[in-house]
Amino acid sequence: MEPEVALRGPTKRRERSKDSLPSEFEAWYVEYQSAVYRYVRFRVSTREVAEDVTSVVFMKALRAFGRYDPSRASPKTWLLRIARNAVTDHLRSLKRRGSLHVSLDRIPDLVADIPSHEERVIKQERIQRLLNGARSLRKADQEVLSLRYGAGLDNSEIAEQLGISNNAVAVRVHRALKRLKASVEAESAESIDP
Amino acid sequence: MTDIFDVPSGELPDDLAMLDRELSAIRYEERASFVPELRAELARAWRDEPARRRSARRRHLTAAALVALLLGGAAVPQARASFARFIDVFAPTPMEAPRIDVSPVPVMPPGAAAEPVLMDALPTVTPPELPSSEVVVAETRGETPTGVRMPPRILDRTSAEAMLRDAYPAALQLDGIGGEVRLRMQIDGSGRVTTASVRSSSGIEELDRVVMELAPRLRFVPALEDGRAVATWIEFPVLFEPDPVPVRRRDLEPVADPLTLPTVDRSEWWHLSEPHDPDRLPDGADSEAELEAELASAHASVVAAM
Repeated sequence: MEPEVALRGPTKRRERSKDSLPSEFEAWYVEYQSAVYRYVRFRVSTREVAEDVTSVVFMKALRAFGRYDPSRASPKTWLLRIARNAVTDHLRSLKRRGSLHVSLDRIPDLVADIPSHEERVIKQERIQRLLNGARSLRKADQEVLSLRYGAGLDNSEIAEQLGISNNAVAVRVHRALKRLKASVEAESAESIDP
Repeated sequence: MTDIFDVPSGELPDDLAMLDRELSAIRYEERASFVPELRAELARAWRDEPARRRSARRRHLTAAALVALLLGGAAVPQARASFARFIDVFAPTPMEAPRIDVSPVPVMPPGAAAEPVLMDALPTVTPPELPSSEVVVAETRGETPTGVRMPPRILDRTSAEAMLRDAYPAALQLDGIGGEVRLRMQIDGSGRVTTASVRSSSGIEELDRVVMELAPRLRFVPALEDGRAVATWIEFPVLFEPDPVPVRRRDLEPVADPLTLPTVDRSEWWHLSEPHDPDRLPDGADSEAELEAELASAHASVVAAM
């Protein structure tokens, strides 16, 4: 189908095709959408919320696309920075709305590849415990874990994202994993012997 | 310097290496139609963007003209009479901001189970591998894979959570009392709850009662089998978790990290454009030296353990 064309005065403007994005942005979307989604999904409770926040991220990125400066950050870093702020805004709005967690959390999307029902239930509980443990950590630990295990960044990419050295990233990951392990073990101990 | 934590997980201590593997192994399955849906929304927003910008430019020019006229009109009495007419003629028309509407695809479930099952225990249906364009076309035509069984899904999770949150007794919250209630519910073909009972109590009678009272108000996308809505039984868990920080009155001392602020009653008195990151390292050399020392110590412990 031909794109719509409208003449405005003496100059014929090039109308945007209703199905197209700027080619560069389209390439970023194809390449980085999954990493952004996984980063967000690691931080929020459900797939639906992750979809909403991911949508917000790319809408904001599209609006700010004209101001992107490649000398300041790579596209992936830039998109994940927008994602970090979007997740922060979302979590802050949850805090404003209420002080408690009434959770209907379930994570069927994180165990969908497991064929056996029994294994899926066990795995779901374990993953739920890990993610809940991660969300109980302080913000800096959550950030580094979600960048590593959600977005799948390596240490140098995390360093660029956070504006710190590779060594600092290594130490932060180490600390965050230790704290996560302690948190999960403490929660397991409570559930066995409340 | 070798970055020991940027190598295969075998370089981490055993217990952390296992945790590293577990976290790395989590698979994040996106809804099949989400990617093309979002792309379509973005394209629509991009198409509408020039009109929005032209409108914004017109508003800015109009505002500048109004300011100039206001200043000029104050100095020239004859201009004042024209000023009112000018405002009336050139008042900008408000433009609606484009809406982001990513509507989740209802989960299409199959047949009524004779016994209640955990909502999430029903198999998650993975659509057949198709090029993305074909998936979009299939949904547009309303095709549903045959023989597919999909469980019911709550219709508006946000509203349901808000409703339950509002019903969470304040006294229990303040005392730090929570718990998980599991209901056994029958969902009919229209997505309404027709029967509900407590399958597993939270141990707190008040919490059980709250959930039982609200259960009939929950709405679901019904179970489907071969495109046909059917009644089914489900097990529905609700977790009440009190805030670890006790709720206090408004006259609180400010704290560094806004995300740890105790909740105040619908107060918006704190607002930050960029959250403070207490973990951000200073740029001083001393901090780097401390990190180097800690890294060397950690490396030594790994080597010793090997």
